Amino acid sequence: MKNMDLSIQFLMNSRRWGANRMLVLTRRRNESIIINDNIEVSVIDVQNDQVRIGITAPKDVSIYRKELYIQILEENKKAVENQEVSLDELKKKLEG
Amino acid sequence: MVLKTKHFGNVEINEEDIITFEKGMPGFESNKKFAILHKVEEDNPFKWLQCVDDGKVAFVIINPQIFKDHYEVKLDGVISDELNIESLEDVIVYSIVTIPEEVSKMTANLKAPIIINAKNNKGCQMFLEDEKYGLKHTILDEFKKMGGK
Repeated sequence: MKNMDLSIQFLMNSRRWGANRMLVLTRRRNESIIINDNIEVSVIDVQNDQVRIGITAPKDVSIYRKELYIQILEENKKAVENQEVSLDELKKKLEG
Repeated sequence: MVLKTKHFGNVEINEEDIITFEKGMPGFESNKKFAILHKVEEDNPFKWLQCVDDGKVAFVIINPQIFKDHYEVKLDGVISDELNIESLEDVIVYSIVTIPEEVSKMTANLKAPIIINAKNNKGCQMFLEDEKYGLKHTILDEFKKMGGK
């Protein structure tokens, strides 16, 4: 539930997603869709509730599993908070 | 150039020391330029990864080898291309450190390390598929496991 809240917040906050709409379409195995002339998303295989997807895209396009992306985003945000510490203090902790 | 930082006040840095994260990092997509700050005279495995464009954005980073034996980062072709990596000797790996209220419980993110090509100062945050590595490894526990070397 927490993840879901966060993903919604993420979608709403992100400039990239700001004015986006969702297109819903149906594809079968071995069919694909083309995005923006340079990205192809293919359905490789479908089994029960699992879909294998192949993505062909230029190297400057980032592709992530969304749940992992959200987790890392959340951890990065936490890492920037709570930093009223000095590097000296951290080093001392390590040296015990 | 003079850099406004969260922890060191104003710091003079050289343009050539700036590390460019072309894609930013998750949650910080618009922060593309960073500098690594540490006290020159001191040998400390912790450093700051300070954003150049925004003084408020700074990560504590650590060399993961300090507390984790055999930490394996498998660079894929995508990352190698993105950072124009020619030789593995140019690659520097850091982990981002999260510091909770209780500082001794600080954790390192081994799932998504910072990769820097020292030759051209290009950087990125990479995601590792390896299940061994998580977002929160308690640094002091791992350090003790290693025998505090």
